[in-house]
Amino acid sequence: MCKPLFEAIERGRNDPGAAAQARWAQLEADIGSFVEGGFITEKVLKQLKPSKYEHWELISRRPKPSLRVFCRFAKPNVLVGTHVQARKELGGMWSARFEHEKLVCEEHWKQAGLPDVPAPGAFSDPPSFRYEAYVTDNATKSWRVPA
Amino acid sequence: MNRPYEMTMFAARNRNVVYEIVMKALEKAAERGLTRKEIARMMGRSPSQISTTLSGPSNWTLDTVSDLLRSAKATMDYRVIFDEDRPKANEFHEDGQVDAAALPPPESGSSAKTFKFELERVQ
Repeated sequence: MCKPLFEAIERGRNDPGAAAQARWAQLEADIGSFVEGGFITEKVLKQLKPSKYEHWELISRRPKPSLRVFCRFAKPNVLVGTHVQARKELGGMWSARFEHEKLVCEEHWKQAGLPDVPAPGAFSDPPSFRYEAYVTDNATKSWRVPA
Repeated sequence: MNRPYEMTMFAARNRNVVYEIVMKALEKAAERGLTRKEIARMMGRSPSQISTTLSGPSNWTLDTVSDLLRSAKATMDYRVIFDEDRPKANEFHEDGQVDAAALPPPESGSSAKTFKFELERVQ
């Protein structure tokens, strides 16, 4: 966890409002779900396009406001969360703001002394970018309960 | 007086855990032919309501859990684990150290600030 994300959670934790505290508690629990090996799908953790830049978002939809933690994998099962933004602030998927936040993610990543992207072949498998290459256990792209 | 943060987080965590358990039960039942349509019929709801329900646990009640498990023809066993017996999640520390040997080689010129990963999964 990079410092901006840690500090955002700390601010939420110390917010005097009950609703704000509940919001950040849920985010911390959602992060904890990954840390503790909970089942992971794209509803929780999603690779952003284009995949080759290795940006991910950890999704925490409820309670409102919906939040997104920008993150990258340093190696399989080791996810570095850089910072968090409210989803409504980001605009559409290819908005200037969304693209900007990807760059902010890279900046925090670099400041932490990590390389720009995982070394080719280290664990990422372009062009497939299989989900299971990043989260090797107890993860799949989606739940399989047919309509 | 606000509900303590730790209590709120604990409840959120439990919701996530229960969600995972129930969804896995439904997946297993789906392998034997259970569909969302069938779940909707058994719970007396519309398929679209079921899709909303299955998208996340934020509005689940104990009745929701019970109904979904009944649809899967399953029940839940309960187990209590005391905090001291649980695996610990890592915490951020200013002076934490990177396990450099475990990382890809850094680019030349990158800073060498130290930090510690928090988001490593417990295997």
